[in-house]
Amino acid sequence: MLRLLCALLYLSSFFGICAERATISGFGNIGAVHSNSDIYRFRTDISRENDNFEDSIDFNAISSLGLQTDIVLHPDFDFVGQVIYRGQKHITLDDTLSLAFLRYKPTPSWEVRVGRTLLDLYLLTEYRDIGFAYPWSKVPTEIYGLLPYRSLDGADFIYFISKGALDYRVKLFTGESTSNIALDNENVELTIDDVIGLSVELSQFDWTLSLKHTQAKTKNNISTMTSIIAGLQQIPKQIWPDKTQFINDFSLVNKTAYFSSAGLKYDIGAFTFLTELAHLRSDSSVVSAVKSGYISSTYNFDKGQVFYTYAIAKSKTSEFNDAVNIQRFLPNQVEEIILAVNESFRVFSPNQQTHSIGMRYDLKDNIAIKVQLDHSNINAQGGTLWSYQGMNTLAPKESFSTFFISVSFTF
Amino acid sequence: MLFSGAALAEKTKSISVIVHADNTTDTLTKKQLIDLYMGRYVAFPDNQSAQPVDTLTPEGLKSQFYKRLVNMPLSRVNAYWSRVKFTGRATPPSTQDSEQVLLNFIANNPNAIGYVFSDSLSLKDKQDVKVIMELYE
Repeated sequence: MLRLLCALLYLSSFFGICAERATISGFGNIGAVHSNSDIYRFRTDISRENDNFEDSIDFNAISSLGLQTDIVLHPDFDFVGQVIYRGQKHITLDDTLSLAFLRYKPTPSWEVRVGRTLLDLYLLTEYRDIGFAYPWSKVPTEIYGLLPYRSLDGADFIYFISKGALDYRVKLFTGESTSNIALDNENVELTIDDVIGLSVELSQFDWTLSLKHTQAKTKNNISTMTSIIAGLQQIPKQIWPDKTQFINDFSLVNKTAYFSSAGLKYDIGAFTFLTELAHLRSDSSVVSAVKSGYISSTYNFDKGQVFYTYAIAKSKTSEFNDAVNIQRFLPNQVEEIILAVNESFRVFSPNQQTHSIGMRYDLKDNIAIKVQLDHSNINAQGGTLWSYQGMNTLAPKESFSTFFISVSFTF
Repeated sequence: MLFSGAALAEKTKSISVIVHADNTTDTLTKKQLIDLYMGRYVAFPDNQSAQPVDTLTPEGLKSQFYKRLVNMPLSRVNAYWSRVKFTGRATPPSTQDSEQVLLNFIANNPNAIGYVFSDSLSLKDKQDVKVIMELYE
Protein backbone atom coordinates (compact mmCIF):
# COMPACT_ATOMS: atom_id res chain seq x y z
CA MET A 1 0.00 0.00 0.00
CA LEU A 2 2.87 2.35 0.81
CA ARG A 3 4.09 1.84 -2.78
CA LEU A 4 0.71 2.98 -4.07
CA LEU A 5 0.86 6.03 -1.83
CA CYS A 6 4.38 6.85 -3.04
CA ALA A 7 3.20 6.42 -6.62
CA LEU A 8 0.37 8.89 -5.89
CA LEU A 9 2.88 11.31 -4.41
CA TYR A 10 5.20 11.06 -7.41
CA LEU A 11 2.28 11.32 -9.80
CA SER A 12 1.08 14.41 -8.01
CA SER A 13 4.58 15.91 -8.00
CA PHE A 14 4.64 15.41 -11.75
CA PHE A 15 1.22 16.96 -12.20
CA GLY A 16 2.20 19.62 -9.70
CA ILE A 17 4.34 21.18 -12.42
CA CYS A 18 1.19 21.91 -14.40
CA ALA A 19 -1.10 22.29 -11.39
CA GLU A 20 -3.80 24.91 -11.70
CA ARG A 21 -3.46 25.84 -8.03
CA ALA A 22 -1.26 24.55 -5.25
CA THR A 23 -1.38 25.68 -1.64
CA ILE A 24 0.51 24.76 1.50
CA SER A 25 -1.05 25.19 4.92
CA GLY A 26 -0.78 23.69 8.35
CA PHE A 27 -1.98 23.37 11.90
CA GLY A 28 -0.48 22.75 15.29
CA ASN A 29 -0.99 22.43 18.97
CA ILE A 30 1.49 23.19 21.73
CA GLY A 31 0.25 21.94 25.03
CA ALA A 32 1.09 20.84 28.54
CA VAL A 33 -0.70 18.30 30.74
CA HIS A 34 -0.47 17.91 34.49
CA SER A 35 -2.23 15.21 36.47
CA ASN A 36 -2.33 14.71 40.22
CA SER A 37 -2.45 10.92 39.88
CA ASP A 38 0.70 9.03 40.87
CA ILE A 39 -0.57 5.93 39.10
CA TYR A 40 -2.09 6.90 35.77
CA ARG A 41 -0.52 9.09 33.09
CA PHE A 42 -2.58 10.81 30.42
CA ARG A 43 -2.46 9.72 26.80
CA THR A 44 -4.82 10.74 23.99
CA ASP A 45 -5.34 7.13 22.87
CA ILE A 46 -3.92 3.65 23.24
CA SER A 47 -1.45 4.13 20.37
CA ARG A 48 0.47 6.62 22.51
CA GLU A 49 3.13 5.73 24.98
CA ASN A 50 3.55 7.87 28.04
CA ASP A 51 6.42 6.57 30.10
CA ASN A 52 6.97 10.01 31.57
CA PHE A 53 6.31 8.87 35.14
CA GLU A 54 9.01 11.09 36.63
CA ASP A 55 8.06 14.59 35.48
CA SER A 56 4.79 16.01 36.62
CA ILE A 57 4.23 18.18 33.54
CA ASP A 58 3.98 16.50 30.14
CA PHE A 59 4.66 18.69 27.10
CA ASN A 60 4.34 15.85 24.59
CA ALA A 61 0.91 14.32 25.11
CA ILE A 62 -1.27 16.87 23.27
CA SER A 63 1.34 18.64 21.11
CA SER A 64 1.30 18.15 17.36
CA LEU A 65 2.24 19.80 14.06
CA GLY A 66 0.71 19.14 10.65
CA LEU A 67 1.54 20.30 7.13
CA GLN A 68 -0.81 19.96 4.19
CA THR A 69 -0.60 20.54 0.47
CA ASP A 70 -3.66 20.90 -1.76
CA ILE A 71 -2.95 20.64 -5.47
CA VAL A 72 -5.68 21.25 -8.04
CA LEU A 73 -4.56 19.20 -11.04
CA HIS A 74 -7.60 19.66 -13.23
CA PRO A 75 -11.12 20.99 -12.60
CA ASP A 76 -12.20 17.41 -11.76
CA PHE A 77 -9.02 16.14 -10.05
CA ASP A 78 -7.08 17.26 -7.02
CA PHE A 79 -4.48 15.82 -4.69
CA VAL A 80 -4.27 16.33 -0.93
CA GLY A 81 -1.19 15.33 1.06
CA GLN A 82 -0.69 15.79 4.79
CA VAL A 83 1.99 14.84 7.26
CA ILE A 84 1.51 15.12 10.99
CA TYR A 85 3.89 14.78 13.90
CA ARG A 86 2.12 13.95 17.14
CA GLY A 87 4.89 12.38 19.14
CA GLN A 88 5.44 9.24 17.08
CA LYS A 89 8.57 7.39 18.16
CA HIS A 90 9.46 6.46 14.59
CA ILE A 91 9.43 9.34 12.16
CA THR A 92 8.96 7.47 8.90
CA LEU A 93 6.87 8.45 5.88
CA ASP A 94 4.34 5.73 6.71
CA ASP A 95 4.00 6.81 10.35
CA THR A 96 3.64 10.54 9.66
CA LEU A 97 1.66 10.54 6.40
CA SER A 98 -1.98 11.04 7.35
CA LEU A 99 -3.45 12.07 3.99
CA ALA A 100 -2.29 11.25 0.44
CA PHE A 101 -5.22 10.86 -1.88
CA LEU A 102 -6.25 11.67 -5.40
CA ARG A 103 -9.82 12.92 -5.69
CA TYR A 104 -12.03 12.70 -8.75
CA LYS A 105 -15.03 15.01 -8.44
CA PRO A 106 -16.87 15.19 -11.75
CA THR A 107 -19.95 16.87 -10.28
CA PRO A 108 -20.59 18.82 -7.05
CA SER A 109 -22.69 15.89 -5.79
CA TRP A 110 -20.25 13.00 -5.79
CA GLU A 111 -16.59 12.25 -5.49
CA VAL A 112 -14.20 9.31 -5.32
CA ARG A 113 -10.96 9.42 -3.32
CA VAL A 114 -8.18 6.87 -3.71
CA GLY A 115 -5.11 6.63 -1.48
CA ARG A 116 -4.70 7.42 2.19
CA THR A 117 -7.67 9.14 3.81
CA LEU A 118 -8.68 9.61 7.45
CA LEU A 119 -10.56 6.72 9.00
CA ASP A 120 -14.12 7.95 9.54
CA LEU A 121 -15.16 5.73 12.46
CA TYR A 122 -16.92 8.18 14.76
CA LEU A 123 -18.13 11.81 14.59
CA LEU A 124 -14.78 13.44 15.50
CA THR A 125 -12.25 10.79 14.43
CA GLU A 126 -11.24 12.60 11.27
CA TYR A 127 -10.18 15.81 13.04
CA ARG A 128 -9.28 14.69 16.54
CA ASP A 129 -5.61 15.72 15.97
CA ILE A 130 -6.53 19.24 14.78
CA GLY A 131 -6.79 21.17 18.02
CA PHE A 132 -7.93 24.43 16.41
CA ALA A 133 -11.08 22.68 15.15
CA TYR A 134 -12.77 22.20 18.54
CA PRO A 135 -13.16 24.05 21.84
CA TRP A 136 -11.68 21.35 24.12
CA SER A 137 -8.00 20.67 24.74
CA LYS A 138 -8.56 17.15 23.40
CA VAL A 139 -11.50 15.10 22.18
CA PRO A 140 -13.30 12.96 24.84
CA THR A 141 -10.90 10.13 25.68
CA GLU A 142 -13.69 7.78 26.74
CA ILE A 143 -14.78 7.35 23.10
CA TYR A 144 -11.66 8.19 21.12
CA GLY A 145 -8.97 6.81 23.42
CA LEU A 146 -9.70 3.23 22.37
CA LEU A 147 -9.24 4.01 18.66
CA PRO A 148 -5.56 3.86 17.73
CA TYR A 149 -6.23 3.97 13.98
CA ARG A 150 -5.94 7.27 12.12
CA SER A 151 -5.69 6.65 8.41
CA LEU A 152 -7.26 4.31 5.89
CA ASP A 153 -5.33 3.05 2.86
CA GLY A 154 -8.02 2.41 0.31
CA ALA A 155 -10.84 4.29 -1.38
CA ASP A 156 -14.07 6.02 -0.57
CA PHE A 157 -17.15 7.19 -2.45
CA ILE A 158 -19.05 10.24 -1.22
CA TYR A 159 -22.49 11.37 -2.35
CA PHE A 160 -23.89 14.71 -1.22
CA ILE A 161 -27.27 16.06 -2.11
CA SER A 162 -29.15 19.12 -0.94
CA LYS A 163 -32.94 18.75 -0.96
CA GLY A 164 -34.99 21.66 0.30
CA ALA A 165 -33.76 22.69 3.71
CA LEU A 166 -31.86 19.44 4.34
CA ASP A 167 -28.48 18.14 3.21
CA TYR A 168 -27.68 14.44 2.94
CA ARG A 169 -24.16 13.04 2.83
CA VAL A 170 -23.45 9.35 2.35
CA LYS A 171 -19.94 7.94 2.40
CA LEU A 172 -18.82 4.38 1.71
CA PHE A 173 -15.23 3.44 2.36
CA THR A 174 -12.98 0.42 2.21
CA GLY A 175 -9.33 -0.36 2.81
CA GLU A 176 -6.92 -1.27 5.57
CA SER A 177 -5.20 0.45 8.46
CA THR A 178 -2.27 -0.25 10.76
CA SER A 179 -1.48 1.26 14.12
CA ASN A 180 0.70 0.68 17.13
CA ILE A 181 -0.78 -0.19 20.48
CA ALA A 182 1.29 0.90 23.44
CA LEU A 183 1.21 -1.70 26.19
CA ASP A 184 2.94 -1.49 29.55
CA ASN A 185 6.21 -2.95 28.37
CA GLU A 186 6.05 -2.98 24.60
CA ASN A 187 4.70 -1.26 21.54
CA VAL A 188 2.94 -3.67 19.21
CA GLU A 189 1.48 -3.31 15.74
CA LEU A 190 -2.09 -4.30 14.93
CA THR A 191 -3.50 -4.20 11.39
CA ILE A 192 -7.15 -4.16 10.40
CA ASP A 193 -8.06 -5.03 6.81
CA ASP A 194 -11.22 -5.72 4.83
CA VAL A 195 -12.48 -2.46 6.33
CA ILE A 196 -15.97 -1.63 5.09
CA GLY A 197 -17.67 1.44 6.46
CA LEU A 198 -20.78 3.52 5.95
CA SER A 199 -21.31 7.04 7.19
CA VAL A 200 -24.64 8.84 6.81
CA GLU A 201 -25.07 12.47 7.76
CA LEU A 202 -28.27 14.46 7.72
CA SER A 203 -27.71 18.15 8.34
CA GLN A 204 -28.46 21.78 8.07
CA PHE A 205 -25.66 24.24 8.74
CA ASP A 206 -26.58 24.55 12.43
CA TRP A 207 -27.15 20.85 13.16
CA THR A 208 -25.79 17.49 12.06
CA LEU A 209 -27.10 14.01 12.78
CA SER A 210 -24.48 11.40 12.06
CA LEU A 211 -24.77 7.60 11.95
CA LYS A 212 -21.70 5.48 11.26
CA HIS A 213 -20.93 1.79 11.14
CA THR A 214 -17.67 0.10 10.21
CA GLN A 215 -16.57 -3.51 10.17
CA ALA A 216 -12.98 -4.65 9.88
CA LYS A 217 -10.95 -7.80 10.34
CA THR A 218 -8.01 -7.80 12.72
CA LYS A 219 -5.14 -9.33 10.77
CA ASN A 220 -2.70 -10.38 13.43
CA ASN A 221 -2.33 -11.11 17.12
CA ILE A 222 -0.39 -8.63 19.18
CA SER A 223 2.95 -10.24 20.06
CA THR A 224 2.15 -10.99 23.70
CA MET A 225 -0.93 -12.89 22.57
CA THR A 226 1.16 -15.04 20.22
CA SER A 227 3.28 -16.17 23.20
CA ILE A 228 0.17 -16.73 25.32
CA ILE A 229 -1.47 -18.84 22.61
CA ALA A 230 1.76 -20.87 22.28
CA GLY A 231 1.60 -21.43 26.05
CA LEU A 232 -2.09 -22.37 25.95
CA GLN A 233 -1.32 -24.94 23.24
CA GLN A 234 1.00 -26.68 25.71
CA ILE A 235 -1.73 -27.32 28.28
CA PRO A 236 -2.69 -31.00 28.10
CA LYS A 237 -6.15 -31.64 26.70
CA GLN A 238 -6.87 -33.96 29.64
CA ILE A 239 -7.01 -31.02 32.07
CA TRP A 240 -8.70 -28.65 29.58
CA PRO A 241 -11.01 -30.29 27.02
CA ASP A 242 -12.34 -26.93 25.70
CA LYS A 243 -8.89 -25.60 24.87
CA THR A 244 -9.28 -25.39 21.07
CA GLN A 245 -12.52 -23.44 21.25
CA PHE A 246 -11.07 -21.04 23.82
CA ILE A 247 -7.96 -20.37 21.74
CA ASN A 248 -10.06 -19.80 18.65
CA ASP A 249 -12.22 -17.24 20.51
CA PHE A 250 -9.15 -15.62 22.09
CA SER A 251 -7.16 -15.10 18.89
CA LEU A 252 -7.48 -11.79 17.01
CA VAL A 253 -6.50 -13.31 13.66
CA ASN A 254 -9.24 -12.85 11.07
CA LYS A 255 -11.78 -11.73 13.69
CA THR A 256 -14.30 -9.04 12.83
CA ALA A 257 -14.44 -5.86 14.88
CA TYR A 258 -17.56 -3.67 14.76
CA PHE A 259 -17.54 0.11 15.33
CA SER A 260 -20.90 1.91 15.51
CA SER A 261 -21.79 5.43 16.54
CA ALA A 262 -24.65 7.92 16.54
CA GLY A 263 -23.85 11.60 17.02
CA LEU A 264 -25.75 14.87 17.11
CA LYS A 265 -24.38 18.40 16.96
CA TYR A 266 -26.80 21.27 17.45
CA ASP A 267 -26.19 25.04 17.46
CA ILE A 268 -28.94 27.01 19.13
CA GLY A 269 -28.39 30.69 19.81
CA ALA A 270 -25.12 31.13 21.66
CA PHE A 271 -24.99 27.44 22.64
CA THR A 272 -23.63 24.38 20.89
CA PHE A 273 -24.69 20.92 22.07
CA LEU A 274 -22.82 17.83 21.00
CA THR A 275 -23.50 14.26 21.99
CA GLU A 276 -22.39 10.88 20.73
CA LEU A 277 -22.93 7.24 21.66
CA ALA A 278 -20.53 4.58 20.44
CA HIS A 279 -20.39 0.81 20.58
CA LEU A 280 -17.30 -1.27 19.90
CA ARG A 281 -17.23 -5.05 19.88
CA SER A 282 -15.30 -7.88 18.30
CA ASP A 283 -15.66 -11.56 17.58
CA SER A 284 -12.47 -12.02 19.62
CA SER A 285 -12.86 -12.38 23.38
CA VAL A 286 -9.79 -10.16 23.88
CA VAL A 287 -11.72 -7.06 22.82
CA SER A 288 -14.46 -6.33 25.33
CA ALA A 289 -17.77 -4.92 24.17
CA VAL A 290 -17.38 -1.24 25.02
CA LYS A 291 -20.25 1.23 25.30
CA SER A 292 -19.16 4.83 25.49
CA GLY A 293 -20.59 8.28 25.09
CA TYR A 294 -20.33 11.93 25.93
CA ILE A 295 -22.45 15.04 26.10
CA SER A 296 -20.91 18.45 25.70
CA SER A 297 -22.43 21.91 25.94
CA THR A 298 -20.56 25.01 24.83
CA TYR A 299 -21.43 28.65 25.34
CA ASN A 300 -20.06 30.75 22.47
CA PHE A 301 -19.21 34.40 22.91
CA ASP A 302 -17.42 36.84 20.63
CA LYS A 303 -13.82 35.69 21.06
CA GLY A 304 -14.24 32.47 22.92
CA GLN A 305 -16.10 29.47 24.22
CA VAL A 306 -16.80 27.99 27.65
CA PHE A 307 -17.71 24.31 27.86
CA TYR A 308 -18.71 21.42 30.07
CA THR A 309 -18.40 17.79 28.99
CA TYR A 310 -19.35 14.51 30.63
CA ALA A 311 -17.95 11.31 29.11
CA ILE A 312 -18.24 7.68 30.12
CA ALA A 313 -16.86 4.33 28.92
CA LYS A 314 -18.17 1.00 30.20
CA SER A 315 -17.09 -2.49 29.27
CA LYS A 316 -17.58 -6.03 30.49
CA THR A 317 -14.30 -7.82 30.65
CA SER A 318 -14.02 -11.52 29.83
CA GLU A 319 -12.63 -13.72 32.60
CA PHE A 320 -10.60 -16.84 31.96
CA ASN A 321 -12.29 -18.73 34.77
CA ASP A 322 -15.72 -17.84 33.42
CA ALA A 323 -14.82 -18.91 29.95
CA VAL A 324 -13.49 -22.40 30.46
CA ASN A 325 -14.31 -25.47 32.38
CA ILE A 326 -10.82 -26.09 33.63
CA GLN A 327 -9.84 -28.42 36.44
CA ARG A 328 -8.50 -27.09 39.73
CA PHE A 329 -5.03 -27.56 41.20
CA LEU A 330 -3.19 -26.42 38.09
CA PRO A 331 0.58 -26.56 37.62
CA ASN A 332 2.37 -23.25 38.21
CA GLN A 333 3.09 -22.70 34.50
CA VAL A 334 -0.61 -22.97 33.70
CA GLU A 335 -1.46 -20.48 36.47
CA GLU A 336 0.97 -18.02 34.86
CA ILE A 337 -0.66 -18.44 31.47
CA ILE A 338 -4.10 -17.86 33.00
CA LEU A 339 -2.76 -14.67 34.55
CA ALA A 340 -1.42 -13.57 31.15
CA VAL A 341 -4.77 -14.31 29.49
CA ASN A 342 -6.65 -12.25 32.09
CA GLU A 343 -4.10 -9.48 31.57
CA SER A 344 -4.84 -9.53 27.82
CA PHE A 345 -8.58 -9.33 28.49
CA ARG A 346 -7.98 -5.90 30.03
CA VAL A 347 -6.01 -4.33 27.16
CA PHE A 348 -9.22 -3.18 25.43
CA SER A 349 -11.46 -2.85 28.47
CA PRO A 350 -11.97 0.68 29.84
CA ASN A 351 -14.28 1.55 32.73
CA GLN A 352 -14.16 5.21 33.61
CA GLN A 353 -15.95 8.54 33.49
CA THR A 354 -14.80 12.14 33.29
CA HIS A 355 -16.30 15.57 33.97
CA SER A 356 -14.55 18.39 32.09
CA ILE A 357 -14.82 22.17 32.24
CA GLY A 358 -12.76 24.57 30.21
CA MET A 359 -12.44 27.61 28.04
CA ARG A 360 -11.10 28.55 24.64
CA TYR A 361 -10.13 32.13 23.85
CA ASP A 362 -9.23 33.20 20.30
CA LEU A 363 -6.17 35.45 20.52
CA LYS A 364 -6.30 35.96 16.75
CA ASP A 365 -8.46 34.59 13.95
CA ASN A 366 -6.07 31.65 13.66
CA ILE A 367 -4.62 31.31 17.20
CA ALA A 368 -6.51 30.08 20.25
CA ILE A 369 -5.49 29.43 23.84
CA LYS A 370 -7.34 26.68 25.69
CA VAL A 371 -7.50 25.50 29.28
CA GLN A 372 -9.36 22.45 30.55
CA LEU A 373 -9.77 20.71 33.88
CA ASP A 374 -10.84 17.07 33.92
CA HIS A 375 -11.92 15.05 36.91
CA SER A 376 -11.76 11.33 36.12
CA ASN A 377 -13.00 8.32 38.07
CA ILE A 378 -11.28 5.11 37.02
CA ASN A 379 -12.69 1.76 38.12
CA ALA A 380 -10.34 -0.95 39.34
CA GLN A 381 -8.81 -2.67 36.29
CA GLY A 382 -10.55 -0.10 34.06
CA GLY A 383 -7.72 2.32 33.32
CA THR A 384 -6.60 0.95 29.97
CA LEU A 385 -6.98 4.34 28.30
CA TRP A 386 -4.18 5.67 30.51
CA SER A 387 -0.52 4.78 30.71
CA TYR A 388 -0.05 2.58 33.72
CA GLN A 389 3.08 0.86 34.95
CA GLY A 390 2.17 -2.57 36.18
CA MET A 391 -0.32 -5.32 35.56
CA ASN A 392 -3.77 -4.30 34.33
CA THR A 393 -5.30 -6.97 36.56
CA LEU A 394 -3.89 -5.14 39.58
CA ALA A 395 -4.66 -1.58 38.42
CA PRO A 396 -6.47 0.18 41.26
CA LYS A 397 -9.52 2.38 41.40
CA GLU A 398 -8.53 6.05 41.31
CA SER A 399 -10.11 9.51 41.22
CA PHE A 400 -7.95 12.41 40.14
CA SER A 401 -7.77 15.65 38.18
CA THR A 402 -5.90 16.48 35.00
CA PHE A 403 -5.17 20.02 33.82
CA PHE A 404 -4.54 20.90 30.18
CA ILE A 405 -3.29 24.15 28.71
CA SER A 406 -2.58 24.56 25.02
CA VAL A 407 -2.21 26.97 22.15
CA SER A 408 -3.77 25.81 18.88
CA PHE A 409 -3.10 27.49 15.56
CA THR A 410 -3.46 27.22 11.81
CA PHE A 411 -1.40 28.82 9.07
CA MET B 1 -14.11 58.47 17.82
CA LEU B 2 -13.23 58.46 14.09
CA PHE B 3 -12.42 54.75 14.33
CA SER B 4 -15.71 53.85 15.94
CA GLY B 5 -17.52 55.94 13.30
CA ALA B 6 -15.79 54.04 10.48
CA ALA B 7 -16.53 50.70 12.13
CA LEU B 8 -20.19 51.67 12.52
CA ALA B 9 -20.35 52.67 8.85
CA GLU B 10 -18.98 49.24 7.85
CA LYS B 11 -21.55 47.53 10.01
CA THR B 12 -24.45 49.31 8.34
CA LYS B 13 -23.26 49.02 4.72
CA SER B 14 -24.99 46.41 2.63
CA ILE B 15 -22.91 43.67 1.01
CA SER B 16 -23.60 42.55 -2.57
CA VAL B 17 -23.02 38.96 -3.59
CA ILE B 18 -21.87 38.97 -7.20
CA VAL B 19 -21.31 36.54 -10.07
CA HIS B 20 -20.23 36.87 -13.70
CA ALA B 21 -22.77 38.80 -15.83
CA ASP B 22 -23.41 35.70 -17.98
CA ASN B 23 -24.02 33.38 -15.03
CA THR B 24 -27.52 31.92 -15.30
CA THR B 25 -28.07 32.28 -11.55
CA ASP B 26 -30.25 35.29 -10.78
CA THR B 27 -30.76 34.74 -7.08
CA LEU B 28 -29.67 32.52 -4.18
CA THR B 29 -31.26 31.61 -0.89
CA LYS B 30 -29.22 32.17 2.25
CA LYS B 31 -28.91 28.40 2.68
CA GLN B 32 -27.49 28.05 -0.83
CA LEU B 33 -24.98 30.81 -0.11
CA ILE B 34 -23.99 29.08 3.17
CA ASP B 35 -23.54 25.77 1.31
CA LEU B 36 -21.34 27.53 -1.27
CA TYR B 37 -19.14 29.45 1.14
CA MET B 38 -18.84 26.77 3.81
CA GLY B 39 -17.72 24.02 1.41
CA ARG B 40 -20.91 21.97 1.78
CA TYR B 41 -22.35 22.05 -1.76
CA VAL B 42 -20.12 24.21 -3.92
CA ALA B 43 -22.42 24.66 -6.89
CA PHE B 44 -25.00 27.05 -8.30
CA PRO B 45 -28.67 26.02 -8.32
CA ASP B 46 -28.25 24.63 -11.87
CA ASN B 47 -25.58 22.25 -10.43
CA GLN B 48 -22.70 24.01 -12.20
CA SER B 49 -19.58 23.98 -10.01
CA ALA B 50 -18.88 27.28 -8.32
CA GLN B 51 -15.65 28.99 -7.30
CA PRO B 52 -16.25 31.10 -4.17
CA VAL B 53 -13.80 33.91 -3.52
CA ASP B 54 -12.99 35.96 -0.40
CA THR B 55 -11.25 39.34 -0.36
CA LEU B 56 -8.69 40.69 2.09
CA THR B 57 -9.60 44.38 1.78
CA PRO B 58 -11.30 46.60 2.65
CA GLU B 59 -10.78 45.69 6.27
CA GLY B 60 -13.95 44.48 7.89
CA LEU B 61 -15.65 43.27 4.70
CA LYS B 62 -14.81 39.59 5.20
CA SER B 63 -15.74 39.58 8.89
CA GLN B 64 -19.02 41.39 8.18
CA PHE B 65 -19.84 38.98 5.37
CA TYR B 66 -19.41 35.87 7.57
CA LYS B 67 -21.13 37.52 10.53
CA ARG B 68 -24.18 38.14 8.35
CA LEU B 69 -23.94 34.75 6.62
CA VAL B 70 -23.43 32.34 9.55
CA ASN B 71 -23.39 34.65 12.59
CA MET B 72 -19.85 33.66 13.51
CA PRO B 73 -16.65 35.64 14.09
CA LEU B 74 -13.79 34.84 11.70
CA SER B 75 -11.99 32.75 14.33
CA ARG B 76 -14.94 30.34 14.48
CA VAL B 77 -15.24 30.33 10.71
CA ASN B 78 -11.53 29.38 10.61
CA ALA B 79 -12.13 26.67 13.23
CA TYR B 80 -14.92 25.31 11.05
CA TRP B 81 -12.64 25.35 8.00
CA SER B 82 -9.81 23.67 9.88
CA ARG B 83 -12.00 20.61 10.37
CA VAL B 84 -13.24 20.67 6.78
CA LYS B 85 -9.94 21.44 5.08
CA PHE B 86 -7.52 19.37 7.17
CA THR B 87 -9.71 16.30 6.87
CA GLY B 88 -9.58 16.59 3.08
CA ARG B 89 -13.31 17.26 2.70
CA ALA B 90 -13.14 20.57 0.84
CA THR B 91 -10.93 23.59 0.27
CA PRO B 92 -11.87 27.06 1.51
CA PRO B 93 -12.65 29.94 -0.86
CA SER B 94 -9.64 31.39 -2.67
CA THR B 95 -8.64 34.90 -1.67
CA GLN B 96 -8.16 38.06 -3.73
CA ASP B 97 -6.25 41.08 -2.44
CA SER B 98 -8.90 43.76 -2.90
CA GLU B 99 -12.41 44.43 -4.08
CA GLN B 100 -11.17 45.70 -7.45
CA VAL B 101 -9.04 42.58 -8.07
CA LEU B 102 -12.03 40.49 -7.02
CA LEU B 103 -14.33 42.33 -9.44
CA ASN B 104 -11.85 41.76 -12.29
CA PHE B 105 -11.54 38.09 -11.33
CA ILE B 106 -15.30 37.55 -11.36
CA ALA B 107 -15.67 39.47 -14.62
CA ASN B 108 -13.27 36.95 -16.19
CA ASN B 109 -14.50 33.72 -14.52
CA PRO B 110 -18.04 32.55 -15.28
CA ASN B 111 -18.07 30.14 -12.31
CA ALA B 112 -16.76 32.58 -9.70
CA ILE B 113 -18.83 34.10 -6.91
CA GLY B 114 -17.72 36.86 -4.55
CA TYR B 115 -18.91 39.75 -2.42
CA VAL B 116 -18.22 43.47 -2.14
CA PHE B 117 -19.66 46.41 -0.25
CA SER B 118 -22.61 47.49 -2.40
CA ASP B 119 -21.40 51.08 -2.61
CA SER B 120 -18.15 49.90 -4.24
CA LEU B 121 -19.92 48.80 -7.41
CA SER B 122 -19.55 51.33 -10.23
CA LEU B 123 -21.81 51.45 -13.28
CA LYS B 124 -19.04 49.80 -15.31
CA ASP B 125 -18.72 47.00 -12.75
CA LYS B 126 -22.43 46.35 -13.04
CA GLN B 127 -21.98 45.61 -16.75
CA ASP B 128 -19.43 42.88 -16.02
CA VAL B 129 -20.89 41.32 -12.89
CA LYS B 130 -24.37 40.58 -11.62
CA VAL B 131 -25.69 41.13 -8.09
CA ILE B 132 -27.64 38.03 -7.05
CA MET B 133 -28.13 38.75 -3.36
CA GLU B 134 -27.65 41.49 -0.80
CA LEU B 135 -26.77 40.94 2.82
CA TYR B 136 -27.74 43.46 5.46
CA GLU B 137 -26.78 43.67 9.08
